[in-house]
Amino acid sequence: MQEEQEGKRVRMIEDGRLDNLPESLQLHILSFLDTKEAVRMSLLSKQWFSLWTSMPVLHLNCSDFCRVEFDKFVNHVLRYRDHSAELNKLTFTCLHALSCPNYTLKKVLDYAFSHGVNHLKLSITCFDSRPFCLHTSSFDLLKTLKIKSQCYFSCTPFLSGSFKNLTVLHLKGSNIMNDDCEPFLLGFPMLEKLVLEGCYLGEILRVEALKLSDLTISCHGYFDRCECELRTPNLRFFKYTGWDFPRLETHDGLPVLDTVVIDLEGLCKLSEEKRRIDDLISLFRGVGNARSVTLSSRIARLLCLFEGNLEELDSPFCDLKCLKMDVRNMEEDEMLFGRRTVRRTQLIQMETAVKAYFQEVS
Amino acid sequence: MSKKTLTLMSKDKQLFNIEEHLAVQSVTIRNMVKEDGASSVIPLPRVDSETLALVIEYLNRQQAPEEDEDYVKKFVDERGEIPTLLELAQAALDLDIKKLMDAACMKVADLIKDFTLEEVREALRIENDRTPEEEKAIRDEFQWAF
Repeated sequence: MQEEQEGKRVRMIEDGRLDNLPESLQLHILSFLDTKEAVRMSLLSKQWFSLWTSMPVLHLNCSDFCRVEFDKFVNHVLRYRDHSAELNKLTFTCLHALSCPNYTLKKVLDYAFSHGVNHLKLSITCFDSRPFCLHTSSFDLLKTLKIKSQCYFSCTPFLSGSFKNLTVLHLKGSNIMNDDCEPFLLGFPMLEKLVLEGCYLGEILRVEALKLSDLTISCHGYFDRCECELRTPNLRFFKYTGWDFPRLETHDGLPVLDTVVIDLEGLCKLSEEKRRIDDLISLFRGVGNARSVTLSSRIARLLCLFEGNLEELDSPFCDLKCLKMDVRNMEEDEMLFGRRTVRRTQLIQMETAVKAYFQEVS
Repeated sequence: MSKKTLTLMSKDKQLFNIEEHLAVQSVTIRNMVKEDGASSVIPLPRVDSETLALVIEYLNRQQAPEEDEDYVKKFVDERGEIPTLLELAQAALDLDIKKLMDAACMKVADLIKDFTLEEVREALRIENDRTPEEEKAIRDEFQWAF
């Protein structure tokens, strides 16, 4: 009996040629290449000739083309591709200084949505959301959507559209300013992961997403301090990086929050340090349910500037199990900011104080 | 409760121990454990001991979930030779460890994209079954891409 099972296992794993790479592996490697490269691979052998045409992915990248050629290339790819093949994932990258021609983007999006694309990633220096908005009726197909840009594109489609199946949304360089105070993300019932990277958040960011478990916000520019209002009862992971700390309002205290990571972008002016410490402590209170907290050395430095005895304050955390210091930026900081950064020995002393403060049960 | 250990055996009959809760990141192993408790040695007849040692090193990693993606990238980056990466990808495919397979294949793709066709054939062990004339005909037809 034992031997029989052993034999079954051996056969199961041995099934396949030893010398050649299995086709599934070849295809998998091919799926990570830009479509231009994948097409070139059709010259490798007869077997490889049409592999790319039925791949469920397209990676269109304009960096090897001039503007006109890229459009021509896109036309050919869309014409030669097997139209019955499923299109699961499409990435479109156009980081030319000149903006990507909208007619090319429109063609690509038309093709993608008419072939039921699930995962869409657009990286475009100057993203114009109009061609994208033409497909409102197909938004329900999307499972992952990433849009990266540098032009603070309007987030209007995300306010009005219905994204019934979207689980991951990553926006970079979007303007999320929300004048009429409608909560952001109302049409995203399945959203689990949200990343807002270098977005303009306006004065208030209201996020209402019942399934959201993973939220990352990073602000690269110096904007006015914003208020974050979260109605996200299933949030487990929260990461914030910015020049300033947001005022955090939660409706139910984030009951299942597990991990919090907080980092500071750059070092603040001396005159602003006091206010920042207050903001930071108030942010800690907002995420007081966290069980694991990771702070960067910059945050630690800010905390050690606290006037008075940190240890004497009540801990903002009620059930902290793990406190980590991320010192990855320390050397870089020492070079950039010289003496204003924390020294390693100081960090150790300070760590004791911060630890004592964090563990002080209120 | 003591942690249960599994034993994996490589192609060259070397034995490796790994804690069961780490080993079951491999869907293949997870299914075996579910099926019959996998009390005996699990043979992996296509994975040599060097590759298996790498796989075990990967499975034993202690990473917070948010750092995991960076870790797996760095892990394959440090083993940047194509033959090693292909062995690793093959092992990850057999053992059904998706993240590791993706990372290894992505790294291979990243390396071969600047290769000549001949170099790609060599790296991926592909035989060119076309005559130079046939190849030229295709080049002409797909001029827009090359």
